[in-house]
Amino acid sequence: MPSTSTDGARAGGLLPAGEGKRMFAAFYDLHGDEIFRGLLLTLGDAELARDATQEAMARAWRSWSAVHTYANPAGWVYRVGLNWGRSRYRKLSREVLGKYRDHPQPATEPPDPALRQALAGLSPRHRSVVVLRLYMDWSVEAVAAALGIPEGTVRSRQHAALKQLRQRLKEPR
Amino acid sequence: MTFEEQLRERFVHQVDVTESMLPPVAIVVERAKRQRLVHRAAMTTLAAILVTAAAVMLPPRSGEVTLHNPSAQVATQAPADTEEVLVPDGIGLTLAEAQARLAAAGLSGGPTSGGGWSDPADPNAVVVHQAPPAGTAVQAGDAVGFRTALIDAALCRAFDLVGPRQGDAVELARDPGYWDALRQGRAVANPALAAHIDSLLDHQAAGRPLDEAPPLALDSVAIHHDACSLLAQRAQ
Repeated sequence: MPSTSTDGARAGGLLPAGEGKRMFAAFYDLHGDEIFRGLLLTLGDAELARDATQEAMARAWRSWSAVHTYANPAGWVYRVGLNWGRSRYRKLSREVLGKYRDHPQPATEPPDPALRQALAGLSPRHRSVVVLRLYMDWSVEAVAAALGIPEGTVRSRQHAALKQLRQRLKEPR
Repeated sequence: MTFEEQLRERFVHQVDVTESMLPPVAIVVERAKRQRLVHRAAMTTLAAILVTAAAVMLPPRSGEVTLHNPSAQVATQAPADTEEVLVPDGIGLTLAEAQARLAAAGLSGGPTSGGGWSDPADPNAVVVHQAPPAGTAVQAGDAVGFRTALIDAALCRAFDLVGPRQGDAVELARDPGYWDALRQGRAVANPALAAHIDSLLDHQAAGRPLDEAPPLALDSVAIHHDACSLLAQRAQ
């Protein structure tokens, strides 16, 4: 579950010297792995997900006086990581492949290739909603805040994503 | 086990075997320092370009001293660290009020194209959705997009027939009250929302499943319903 605003939040986000770094270190330890795995499922590549997680966490530290006051700092980090990862992959795929590709081919085959294939077939918007709702187990409200979309849009994208995944994974309704 | 539960298990199995191998937090803090240095260098270069261009293009007013060496002027002006600001809340305000609030925070903003919720030039339209959301940290000068709609008491009373939102749009539509709410809302809605409601009602009348309805129409109704709920909560 995403963390809510911590006891350490102060008016205006100002923190005593040292406490900010301690809070951020605790946040990083608590959420780093979870965000990495969410980005791994969404972006489809471990190296890209690792880099995106680090980049987003670094940006969170730069803006920690504000980020730590958010209701869902982990959601903010996920979204920054997702945008950065997608942008970086598009740039690399244009440079290396000479064309845009939306989803990378992983270096090693994951345990469930059919799931990877099914997820790769979703649009990035649908993929991020279904990962945050089902894998990260975040509420509709938390997902809406993390992705900057209305709650109704979260619900409709989740429904559409599950329908597509059922068809691709050939599960009966 | 439901499909969702099976899917969750497959997600866990898919990623749990992969080590995150995230570095210690000290490495991330160093990365943040490098980001800041790169950002400052980029802003310094941009400031130099802008100041030089202005010095070259703008004619001097009478009495002013012409800069013969604009680059020397630039070299002594260390630009301020680019300010990060928090996006203010524009939900429930008119477009003009929301834009004034952005300007006060050093940001710009305007209506988002597409969506068709309402004519943003209508002085009675209020902001029902914004991106990025309130509280997001952005750079000074960044833009915020607003969607406006004509929300009034009559529309919100009509949508209140559905009650607090439970489940997703498809689950909600199984409640007969949802369709009564749409018909009543249609009578008082602005033309853009009315068109979306018409497409949903036509869809239902044709016996087609709601999860195949135009997503824009579903989103439009959901956004208006959510905006009414939010404004009602704030009024309490």
